Amino acid sequence: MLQSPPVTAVLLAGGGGSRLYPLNASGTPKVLLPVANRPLLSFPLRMLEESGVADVLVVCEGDMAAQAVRAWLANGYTGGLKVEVVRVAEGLPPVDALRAVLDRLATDNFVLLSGDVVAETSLRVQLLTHYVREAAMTALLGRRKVLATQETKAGRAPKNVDYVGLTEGDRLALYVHSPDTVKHLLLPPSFLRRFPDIEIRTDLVDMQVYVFHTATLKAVLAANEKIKRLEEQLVPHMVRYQLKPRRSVGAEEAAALAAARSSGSGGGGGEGLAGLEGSLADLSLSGMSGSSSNAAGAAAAPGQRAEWYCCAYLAPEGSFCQRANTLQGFADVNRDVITPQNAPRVLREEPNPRFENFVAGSVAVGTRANVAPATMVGPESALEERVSVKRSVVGSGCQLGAGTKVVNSVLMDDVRTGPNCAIHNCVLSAGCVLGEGARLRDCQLAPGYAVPAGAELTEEVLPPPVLRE
Amino acid sequence: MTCWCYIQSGSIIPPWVAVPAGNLLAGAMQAVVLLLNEPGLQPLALPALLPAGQAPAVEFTLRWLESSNCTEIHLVTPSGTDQLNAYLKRAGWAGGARRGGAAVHVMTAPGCQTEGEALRFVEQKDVIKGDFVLVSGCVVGNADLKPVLQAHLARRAADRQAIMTLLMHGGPRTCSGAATGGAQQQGRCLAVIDPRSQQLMKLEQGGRVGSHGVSLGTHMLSERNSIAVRTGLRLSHVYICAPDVLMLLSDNFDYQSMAGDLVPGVLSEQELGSTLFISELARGYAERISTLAGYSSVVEDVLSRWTYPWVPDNSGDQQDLCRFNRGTYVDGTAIMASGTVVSKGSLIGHGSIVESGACLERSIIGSDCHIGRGAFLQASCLHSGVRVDDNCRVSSAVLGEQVVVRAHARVETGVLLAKHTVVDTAHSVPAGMRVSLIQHKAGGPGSDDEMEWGDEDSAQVAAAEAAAGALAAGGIPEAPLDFDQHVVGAFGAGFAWSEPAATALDVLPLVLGSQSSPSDCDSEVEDFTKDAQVVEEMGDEEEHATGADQFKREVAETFLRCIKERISHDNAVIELNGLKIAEDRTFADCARYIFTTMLSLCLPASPTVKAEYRALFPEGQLDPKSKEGRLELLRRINAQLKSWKALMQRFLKSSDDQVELLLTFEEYCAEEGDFASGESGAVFAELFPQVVKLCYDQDVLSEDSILDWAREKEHASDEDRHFVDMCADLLAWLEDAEEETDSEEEGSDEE
Repeated sequence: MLQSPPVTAVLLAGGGGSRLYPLNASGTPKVLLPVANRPLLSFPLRMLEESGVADVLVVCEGDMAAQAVRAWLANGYTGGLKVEVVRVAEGLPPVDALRAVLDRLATDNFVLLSGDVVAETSLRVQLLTHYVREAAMTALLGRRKVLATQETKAGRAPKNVDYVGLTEGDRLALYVHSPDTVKHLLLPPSFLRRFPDIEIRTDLVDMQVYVFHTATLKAVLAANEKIKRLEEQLVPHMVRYQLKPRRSVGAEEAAALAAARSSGSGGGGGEGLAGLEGSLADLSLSGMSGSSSNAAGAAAAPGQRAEWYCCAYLAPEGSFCQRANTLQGFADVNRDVITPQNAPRVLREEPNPRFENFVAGSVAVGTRANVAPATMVGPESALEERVSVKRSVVGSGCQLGAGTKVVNSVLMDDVRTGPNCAIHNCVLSAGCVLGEGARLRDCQLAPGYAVPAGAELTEEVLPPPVLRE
Repeated sequence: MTCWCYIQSGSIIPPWVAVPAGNLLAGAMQAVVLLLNEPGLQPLALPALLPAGQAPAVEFTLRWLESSNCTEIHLVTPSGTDQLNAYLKRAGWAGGARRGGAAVHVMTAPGCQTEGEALRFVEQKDVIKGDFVLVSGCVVGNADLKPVLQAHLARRAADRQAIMTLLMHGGPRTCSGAATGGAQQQGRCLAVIDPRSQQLMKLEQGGRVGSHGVSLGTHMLSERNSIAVRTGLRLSHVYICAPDVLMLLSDNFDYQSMAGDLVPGVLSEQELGSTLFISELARGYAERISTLAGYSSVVEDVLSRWTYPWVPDNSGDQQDLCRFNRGTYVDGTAIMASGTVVSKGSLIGHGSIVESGACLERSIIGSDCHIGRGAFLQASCLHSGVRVDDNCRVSSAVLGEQVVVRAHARVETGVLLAKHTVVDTAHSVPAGMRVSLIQHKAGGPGSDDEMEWGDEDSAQVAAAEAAAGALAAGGIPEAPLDFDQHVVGAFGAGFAWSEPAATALDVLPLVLGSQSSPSDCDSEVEDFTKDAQVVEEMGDEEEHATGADQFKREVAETFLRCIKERISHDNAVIELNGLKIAEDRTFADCARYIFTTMLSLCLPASPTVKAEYRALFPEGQLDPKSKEGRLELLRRINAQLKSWKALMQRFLKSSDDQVELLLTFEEYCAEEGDFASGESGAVFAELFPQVVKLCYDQDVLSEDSILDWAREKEHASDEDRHFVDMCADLLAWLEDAEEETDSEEEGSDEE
């Protein structure tokens, strides 16, 4: 197979992850929260490693996060990547965090990804797509689990969707990330002239895995200091100015960048491109049929070279591609990766063939205890008699009292419950303790939280105990 | 559009072309063909009877509909019924006896000008009993309609509210006519559709569609996960309609055009539940004849066999002797002298004579024409009985019946000679001219609307025809008529037909109302929502620089001419206003260019100034660096302001206009934007505050507007504030003055 040009990756690990409160209340950075009993960070790192990326800069906000990630890399990480942790100030907007490491990027293109992506899509194919199209940016788009139409009344504008306009060659012709309702989308005249057929979709979602042409991105960031956020600003900006880059970075810069993209990316001009197309075709055998194989779009007229090609790489239909960036997302990812369908592809582990679940050898299972399919129980845990665990992840060192029921939940390490507890749709952080007969539904518990016996809690976010002194 | 190519392969019959058969298939439909006057084709005869190849256009339409299982075809025409009936009888359509196929009825709808009126007329006649095919205009086609009809009926069966299917072309014209840009622009539209169901959700059409971008209501995405914005589609003017469409038209008397009124109307009243769908023509041909360019390209396509099986050598008539050979069609009865050159894509009709040395390049000669020795015809279309004498040159023109072009005459590109006109010996008809024996009452209000064929003042027409006949025969008419000699020559016959402003009429049903203005967009999200539009508008100015430039030049020239010819202010205002309206500009637009022209009048003429106006400019060079030079310049500006302030004031109606003027002055001084090249605005940059002060003194600018301007720039970048900063003293003085007047007013209140 053709030697790919070297690529650096920037992994934005963020800090505590405010949207995951209270799971991180004890200071565990977001990327070290457990997904299927392993740190979240191990998923994006594996994705990078499998794509042939060699160097990774993990950008952490604040000392605490940086130290924790460093510690895990030193002691727990088993992959082969050369990973370096870069600390930036806490609360820094993502694009500013990226700016902080910009000088360290020496490769023609680089990967920028969020630390909370759990996906089985091939970053390698995404990279090749990027090269073949001579793109300025290639973004991974996943598919929404719940379609916007199911959540929207007829005649109303949908809420919290990504409006993605795709045109020939999976080119992005519109990108609006709308946490709030957007009533009107505007397509500028130049786009209408340039793209005779634009399909605007709401069933896609930006996964925050991007490949950027390094020089282009550097120029954009240098010329547009106001850009602070990724999906709200940077990506829309690139898409918006793709036809007239000079408006973003100035005419000379735009021309220089166009030249750099077409010569630099392939490594060897036309010949290199042809080779890449070939290897792209090889790779696209694995279910990536329509979306990435039509490489014809690369043949742009010379006059269009100054344009930025903003490319969408659509996650192949049915492939696993999710983000653990919200409480809901975190719980979903945990539950979904351990299903018998997804586990072999995402976890690279086969469940117990008989019970279709993952129960570590060192788990003590009491009489008439039941561990359903699509469930994971970590080592050193003890399930007393009549315990029932369904579609849940239980960490290591947990002790579930007799008759406890756990459904659709995530129990991190060292959770202890008294007898006859009921836990539905909850996330219990490490070290939580439940008194006898406690009943929890739709709750998220901070690390070490203690629930008194007999308590009944529904839809609560339970913060860490206030420490005296 | 995938174009299938059957050129020169006469034996292949496309599978979807029905062999005319006696049995009526299920799913037969009624069809309505609207043959309205096409302003773009005036003053040619009835569009339906324009020959396309050997047969008139309507023949193509009828055959096409017949092959698509339309068993009953109603032709609706406001005039020319007799001619139409005569043709139908001749061709065997009348009575429906000939083929056992479609029955053709002609309906006269006097005075009908629009699709809406004509269809309301049809509704009143109560002949439409079910779903029907509506063809608006003369469409020459062979595209297979049957699957479209079936799909429509299937949709209707599932949902009674799916009342119409619009037939659309999937892409730009790819046939031979593609070269003619005018025709390609036709029917261009912007459609928003559901890519799964093909439901139409938004349709904009007209010449400048999409030039302001498009705003899409996201509510469209509430029931579907994707919508497609298509700018590559073209309307074919063929609609498959439920009878409900006629009812809708009757209920809404203001609906005039199908695509311009009815479609947006239905789409905007979604609560009523009616839905529209489109059907994209993947292959096949269906083009309407509505403009001269469209007509030429359709004729060309017919000869190139895009309309197979309906091509000149396949009229279905055994007696027909038209033969197709190496790209040219020659009728068996035509006589071609030796030494004629006939290129591919030409046709020589029944009984025509082509003399030796004549050269035909992609030209169509109708029946009984006579082409003289050494005549050269290029891309032209001659109807029957045309005489082109020796050594004439005719290029890209359409010559109506019985036209005579005398020896050595030239007919330039784009000329249209209506029937019976005569061009004199060695005369040259200027390009783009339309000539008719009928005097077009130009300028009268609604003159186009009252145009009706055959209903003209018949005596006058008869006289003109008599005179033309005499002239054609080489004689002198008994009652000489005052023909337009500059058009047809001293012994020619014909009047110049005032340009029907074809472009303006082509884009008539512009859907301006449905383009939401930027203020409608209440979203605050950055790109592609609100900001996008603002940015793009800036960009558009850039792209339409030529347009802006032209307007600027025109204002400048008008202004200079007014000075030179000492035209009074009032008349100058009228002229400039005319320009403003013609170009759809604002008062401020006029004022800004008048102002800059005025400034340029203070300096020696720049090389771009036309020679005739150079005398208006002062001679001596100034040294803008020296104090004397500046004083002199200010003196000149003051003099100019004094003489033109009355004119300026007419165009500076509001404070906003005045602010606009200041912004222009800034641009001018910085030599940016419209003034980026060839102007010496920089000379004035140093004097910016002084000039503003002069304008204030002369009441060209009010203090409010100067202060408004400064306020507007308050938060601008330093660079942008350069001129404001220069004016700091002036602004302070003005503000003081304002306070004074304020306090004075207060004082007076107290008293």
